Amino acid sequence: MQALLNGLVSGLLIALPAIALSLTYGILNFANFSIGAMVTTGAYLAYIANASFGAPIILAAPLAAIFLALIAIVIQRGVYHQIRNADHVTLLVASMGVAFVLENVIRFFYGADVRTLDVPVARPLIWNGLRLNHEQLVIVVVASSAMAVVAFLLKRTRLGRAMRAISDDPDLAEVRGIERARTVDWTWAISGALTALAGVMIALDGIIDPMIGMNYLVSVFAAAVIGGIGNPFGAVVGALIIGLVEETSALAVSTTYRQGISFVVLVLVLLARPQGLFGSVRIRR
Amino acid sequence: MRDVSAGYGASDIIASVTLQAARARITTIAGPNGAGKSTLMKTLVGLLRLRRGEIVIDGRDITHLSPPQRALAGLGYVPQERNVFKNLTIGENLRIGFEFIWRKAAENEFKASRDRVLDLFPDLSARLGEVAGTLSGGQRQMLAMGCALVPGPSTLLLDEPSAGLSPRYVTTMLNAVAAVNRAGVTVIMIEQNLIEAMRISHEVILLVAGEIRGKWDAQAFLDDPDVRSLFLGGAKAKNKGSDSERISDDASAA
Repeated sequence: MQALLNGLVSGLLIALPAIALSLTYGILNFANFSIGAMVTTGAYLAYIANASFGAPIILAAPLAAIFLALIAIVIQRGVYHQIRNADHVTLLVASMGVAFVLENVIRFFYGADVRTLDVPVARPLIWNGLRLNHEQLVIVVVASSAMAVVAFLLKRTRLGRAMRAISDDPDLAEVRGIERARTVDWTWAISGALTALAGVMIALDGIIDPMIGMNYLVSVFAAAVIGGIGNPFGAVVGALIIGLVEETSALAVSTTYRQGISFVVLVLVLLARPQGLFGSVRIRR
Repeated sequence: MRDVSAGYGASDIIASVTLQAARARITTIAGPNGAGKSTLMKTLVGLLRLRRGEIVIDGRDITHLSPPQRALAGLGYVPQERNVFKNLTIGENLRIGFEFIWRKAAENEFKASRDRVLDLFPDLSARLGEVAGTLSGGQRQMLAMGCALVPGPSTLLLDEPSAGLSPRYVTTMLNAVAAVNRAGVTVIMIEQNLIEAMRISHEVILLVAGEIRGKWDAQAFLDDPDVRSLFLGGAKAKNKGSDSERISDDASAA
């Protein structure tokens, strides 16, 4: 049961960048390889606010989300917008370049040292033998809230409908009056905010180093692809599956193979359903 | 549009096209496959950037406007294919048609506009919560038309509104076009089903190999023996009446 609980928490953590990956894939039709580096950047932004400027983590986390949202818009305008008519492989390679730049900027200023956020230590909650530490509780609350906000935004707001319309048919969206560039900017901003929150929560649950986001890259991609890439709601289900499988597999095999397990699950799901679990829901005819 | 050239890659699909569609009339663009009719439409709506010339609607130069800006300027467009958001519901499709043109409108204004459209296409009204991709071809065409109409455009561009429709839907669709036009909307449409199209059209422009080859009143077009043999398979026009007869026919069918 403890492994299931840990898996659920881990899945919720993966869900945020997986949603971000699906959102940008749905609109721009390329897999953003820099998602791991964005997670890392989010963690460092929170570290700067928290450890360098003394802001409490409850303030540092939203600040990191806002700043990474702005950085994501700058990257969109400076990189992806410039090559918007290129094929998806070119965009994918460009996102690899963005990842290298983000990581090396972090290394330039902060080196490869391991760091931690300045947060008070709290006793874990124990219930019927199940142990839930304070950081895990924060992950559950923040990730669930962020997902609820994204679901509301996508389903109930004008911006959400614009994002879904562009994902469905960008030309038709434009002739219906939707400003594509502005909607793409917003999509990157939301993607940046979600990945920053994920970075902060990973940092809360452990340490900060320039590779923390990259360590989650396979899991995030596996979650998004298993859910049916481009489908943010499918990404949540994919993330929960990956989280549960990774944690429960630790009972049988070493945690060193955790990402390998994600990869095996990804391959098995794609063999059975190449479009992902929820991929067929999208209508393309 | 004046002296407009546009195309893909290095070659022009339409070359030095000049045409004028009369305000509050229905102008049909006829021509063989590959004549450049859809390219002309895409150029008008802004999806294809023109290489030369200018486009003016209601006295306003829209040549350099983006597709969303042209939609805001009153241009409604119904593409022949991929004309609805397939993964969104029918209700969401209609809402999107309205809310990005009238950004500050109240909810009741949207509902009033939507209900006017649903009066034209009652088949859709009971299915607002269904995903648009589940609709048949004819129903999708109606939804696409509804989405273009819901913001109240001043000019409506239709790319083969009756393509792939059953005879019943063709009549419903063209009657809706006539009804919209009677409300003062200028209509420019491409149509292969010329006999049906002439029932509601006022003028016809013939486009061949990317160039304008002539302009007729609808009745004169139907009466022209060369046109009949080339484009109507030698068929005789069904409605050989006057303009007023055609309009009253539409009204009864609507």
